[in-house]
Amino acid sequence: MVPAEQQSWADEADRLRRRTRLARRGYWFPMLAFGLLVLGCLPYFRTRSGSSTTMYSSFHPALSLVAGGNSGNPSRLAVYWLIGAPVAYFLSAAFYRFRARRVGVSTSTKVFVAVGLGLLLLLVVLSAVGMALPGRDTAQRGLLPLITFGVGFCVLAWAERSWALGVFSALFLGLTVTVNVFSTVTWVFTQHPTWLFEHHLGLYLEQIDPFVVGAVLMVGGLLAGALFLIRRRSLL
Amino acid sequence: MTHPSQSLDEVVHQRHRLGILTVLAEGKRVQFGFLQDLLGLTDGNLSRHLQILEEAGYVAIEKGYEGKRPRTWATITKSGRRALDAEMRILSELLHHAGDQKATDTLRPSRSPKVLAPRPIP
Repeated sequence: MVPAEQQSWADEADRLRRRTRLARRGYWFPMLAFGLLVLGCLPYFRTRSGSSTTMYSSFHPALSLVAGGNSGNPSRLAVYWLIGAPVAYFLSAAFYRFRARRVGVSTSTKVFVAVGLGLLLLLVVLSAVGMALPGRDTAQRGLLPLITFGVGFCVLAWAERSWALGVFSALFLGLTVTVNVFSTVTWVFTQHPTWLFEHHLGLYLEQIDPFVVGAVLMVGGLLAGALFLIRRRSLL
Repeated sequence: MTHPSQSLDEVVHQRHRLGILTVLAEGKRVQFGFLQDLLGLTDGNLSRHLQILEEAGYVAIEKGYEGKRPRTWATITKSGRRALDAEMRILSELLHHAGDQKATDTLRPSRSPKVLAPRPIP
């Protein structure tokens, strides 16, 4: 076997690998699905009184790690996450299945779904046994499920064998952890205590953190989708 | 030290079969039609290669229906994945080997050009 032939075999294998990955990939869809899910939670973060730290009587301690205690409508938020997240995972898996039928090559989404839903279930179980997180005020605003989505996307990056999604997911996971330990409302309150009341900002500021997370997913999903279209047209 | 080519697996060391395993390693299940389009093989040719890979235990073939359409799916097995990894490693070693050989050939002084000895001036 001459070196030129070896090189051509290696190049051919590389070309086939890239084309198969391009045909198989579809992570833009779960990004958009979870982006919509996160943006859809914004109404639950609108506080009724304008104070961001109001605890409502509807708060159910058995779901504290899923719903938090500081968000506008904790129990409804818990129901939203517990119904919305499985729906988003189901839609993503269904999309990959549909795509596999259409294109002819399938991606395994079992681990992505299992890890994502498993972590969400873990939050419910830990809430039920009464586990509280340190830094309760900042870490429990009903945003912990976002971390489970971040971990889920890291798993999806592994299943998709995509460096781009891997880097995005790592940064996204970092963002979800950040919004759980850093509260914009608290920061604004410490910097300008009167703003919340003078400008009625308290009504909306709680929404900023989940909005940023949802917007990052939506923009990432749209960019990834556009990029796929362009690359597919140029390669296939 | 043995030459890398001595450890080649004859089943995998064939251009199309290497291509098939490469594609299969990238997905959970791959449709016959997808392989055919990507590799540019005829029905019979692809079937023959898949049969050889299946007999070697590198590929699992599954036949079924999607709606009313008959479909054939291929999946790479664990031993198939190992064989592919080994083949890619050997290919890479062979390329390195060839590169080293080329470098040695370049460094080794080639046949020295004949230099005419100056004639003594009478």
